[in-house]
Order: sequence, then C-alpha cells, then structure tokens
Amino acid sequence: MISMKYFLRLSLIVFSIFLMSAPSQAFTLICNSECPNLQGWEGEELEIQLNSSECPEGITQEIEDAFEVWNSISTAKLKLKVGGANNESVSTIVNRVSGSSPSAHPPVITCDANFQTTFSLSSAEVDAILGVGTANTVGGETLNTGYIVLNTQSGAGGDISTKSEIQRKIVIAHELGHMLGIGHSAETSALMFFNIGVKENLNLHQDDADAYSFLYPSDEPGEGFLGCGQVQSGGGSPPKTPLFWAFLFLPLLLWSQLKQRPQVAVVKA
Amino acid sequence: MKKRFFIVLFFCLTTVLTGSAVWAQNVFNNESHFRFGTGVLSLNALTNTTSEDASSDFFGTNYILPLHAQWSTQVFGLGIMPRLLYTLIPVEAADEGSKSTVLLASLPAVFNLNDSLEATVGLGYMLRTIKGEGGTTELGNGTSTSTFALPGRSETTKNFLLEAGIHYTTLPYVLSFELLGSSLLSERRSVSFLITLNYRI
Repeated sequence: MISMKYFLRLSLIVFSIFLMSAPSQAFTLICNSECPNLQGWEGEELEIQLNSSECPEGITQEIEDAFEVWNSISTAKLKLKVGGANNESVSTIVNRVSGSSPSAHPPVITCDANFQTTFSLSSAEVDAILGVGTANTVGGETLNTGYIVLNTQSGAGGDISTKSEIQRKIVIAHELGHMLGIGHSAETSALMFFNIGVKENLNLHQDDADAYSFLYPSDEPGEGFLGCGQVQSGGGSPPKTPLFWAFLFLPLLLWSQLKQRPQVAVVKA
Repeated sequence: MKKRFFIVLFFCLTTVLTGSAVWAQNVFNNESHFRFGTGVLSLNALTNTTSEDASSDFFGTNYILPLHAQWSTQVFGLGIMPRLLYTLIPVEAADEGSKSTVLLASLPAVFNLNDSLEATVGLGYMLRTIKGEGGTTELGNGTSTSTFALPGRSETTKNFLLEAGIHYTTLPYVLSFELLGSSLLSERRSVSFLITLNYRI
C-alpha cells in the first residue's frame, strides 16, 4: 500500500515537471494593420492550384507533405488539397494578389527563376529569401486571393533547388501558413517564426496550431463526429487496426458484459 | 504518419488493457460521491514541438491547474462519472497577444478494478477558446522587420473526445491519469492527457 506521504510527494514531482514545460505562444495574422474581423479562406476545403513549370522535380509530393502538417490539426476544420494546374506567369499571379487592383482567385503555388526581379530584391535578399507567401481580401474581410512563389533563381543562395527535401517542405509549409492568413510568430520554436533555417523537422508548435485554429476553428458536430468526414489526405483512409475498432466499440462491449453478469456491489463499512 | 499511428496504438492499447481488466474483475461500484480537484491538462502530446529544431515533444500545450469536478453515481445499473473541467488560469501568449482556455465536459462509464483502482471509458466534448485583444506588433521577416496584426476577437474550437482513464484512490484523495483522443476517425487525430489530484467527498 502506498503511504499518503509518498503519494503526495509523487504528485508534487509530477506537477513540477509539467510546470517546467509550460509553453509560450505568440501568433499573429498576415495583415500589416489591425484586422480584428479577418476571416480565413471560405469553406472547409481549399484547393490550391500549382504551376510547377519552374519548380524542382518532386515538388508536388513535397507540397502534399506540407499540406499534411496543417491538415493534422484536430481543432481546425480546413482541408488543404492540390487543385488543378495553373499556367499563368509569376507576374500575373503576384499582381492579382499584391497589385493595385487585386482580384479574387483560388490560391496558387509557383516557382520563379527570376525571383530577384519579380520582387525587386537586393543580392543579399535573394540569397536569404527562399519563398514568399501571402494572401489578400477583395471586397470584404475574408481571404480570397493568395500565392506562394518559391525561389528557384539559379545561383542565388535562396534557390530551393539547392536545399534538402526537408528544408523545402519546411519552406513550403511556412509560406502556406502566410497564404492561409497567419503572420510571423515571436515563438522561436514555431514553424511561423521568421527564421526557419535552424529547423530540421517539419512539426508544428502549439502556437502554429492555435493560429490555424483561430482562423479555421473546428465545429463538431456541425462538420462531423470525432473527425469523421474530415481530412483523408493522400486519397486514402487512415489506418484502422483491429485495436482501433476495439477501442471504438469497447464501451458497448463493456456495457453488454456488465448487463449479462450479476453485479457485485462494493459496500464499505 | 508513423508517429500518428503509434499515438492511436498507444491510446487503443491503454483502453483495451483497461477494458480487459474491467472484464476480468467485473466488480462494480455503486457508492455515489463527489470529487473535485486540480491538475494538468496537456493538449496534443507527442506531436507538437517545443524545440527550435522542431523535433517532436512528449509534452504538448499544458494548462496548469484546471478546476476539475466529477460526480460518481449509477444509472440503470451502470456506474457513470460525469465531469466538468475548466482552465481558470489561461495559457497566455509570450507577447500577451492571445489567451486560451479549455472547457471540457464528459460522461465516462466507471468500473472498479479493486478497492483503490477505477477505470473510466467514455465520451466528452471540449471547447477551446482563443482570445486576443487586437493591436499590432513588429516582427522580423528575414531581412528587416514587418508589422503584423495580433488576433482581435475570440474564436472557439469544438471537438468530441473519446477518453480512457485510470484513477487511484487513497481516501480522501484520488489521483487520475486520463487520455483524451480527438478526431480519431480522421488524419487530424490527436491525443491529450489529463492528470488530476482530487479530493473525494
């Protein structure tokens, strides 16, 4: 039997460990002035067009992997999907979002071999910037136009073709965050922290998940039950093991078992 | 993908082991009582990162000292333990840009494994509110700084949960360890855990 003294001491140790791991959060939104009513992209599914003509090989799979990290947030409702092909020039895409008269259009991901010229960057900047992602609102406060342009300028330090696969995925996932309406974070561990050069893995900090959940909050049972009807990325269903089904039906099995057998009441004197 | 599979496996194993123990013992408690206490609620364990290189972390977002109230009773021969949990102390952003709180209601079935151990399995519903006061902040953008807006309203996420827990009683205290799974039927599935120390009346 565990003594009360030992029990309380153990509890205090457990609580102390958790107190030491208290997190910090600091997400922002993409606007450059106050925007209390900014809403994310409409709907529960967002199809993102892709123009891969100037992109490195394998970019589609890397983009899908970057989608998966945002699609994994259980407190958000938006599903990201690769949409149709886009054949527009980079300048057309950029002007539609950031030009003097923006217009609504599904979001586009593209690569740019003239990255420095397109964004009027200095040599130092084209060496440091791996991609640009942004979104805009046209005729309201809901995001309805946006892009990601990845730097593929040959010889530039920021050329993503020269980076590792995981680094490209991290860049795409970070720029996706901007395209979805999320600004930079002051939290150094967040995917949306401005300097992603030190990251070696593609994982979200709770701050990233909070930003995404803030713009696209989950709404069960309105959109399903326990995730049913939500993200099934990659075209397949998540693995469902016998244990998975056992877990789902366990309460029912326990109920029936208890109803069948005589119950023994524990009576304490 | 592999990581998420192991989360589900971990959750299922715990639940099945709990269930098996209940099945084997088949001892049922009909002693009604109320318990209240506090503890730690850790969301998205095993998936989120807290390190700069973004390696995954066992500890998710922790809500320290949530107020926890639970009533153990019996309905139609089945022991149930309805409970409410609310985070009195919200998690605050480092830049004070936002605060988040959790309200959790659940209705688990309860089974006695022996005089001091109980198991619970059931369904819950979690509301998580993220609230910001608005304003702007200057942050780095790689080459210089830019102005970004801070969240300026309140948004609430709503999720069903499946939960399983083990509760150790040494009167009048009860120490509970529970796993809470959300979106288990989709790729969004995540597991949180709740450790509470309660006083039993």
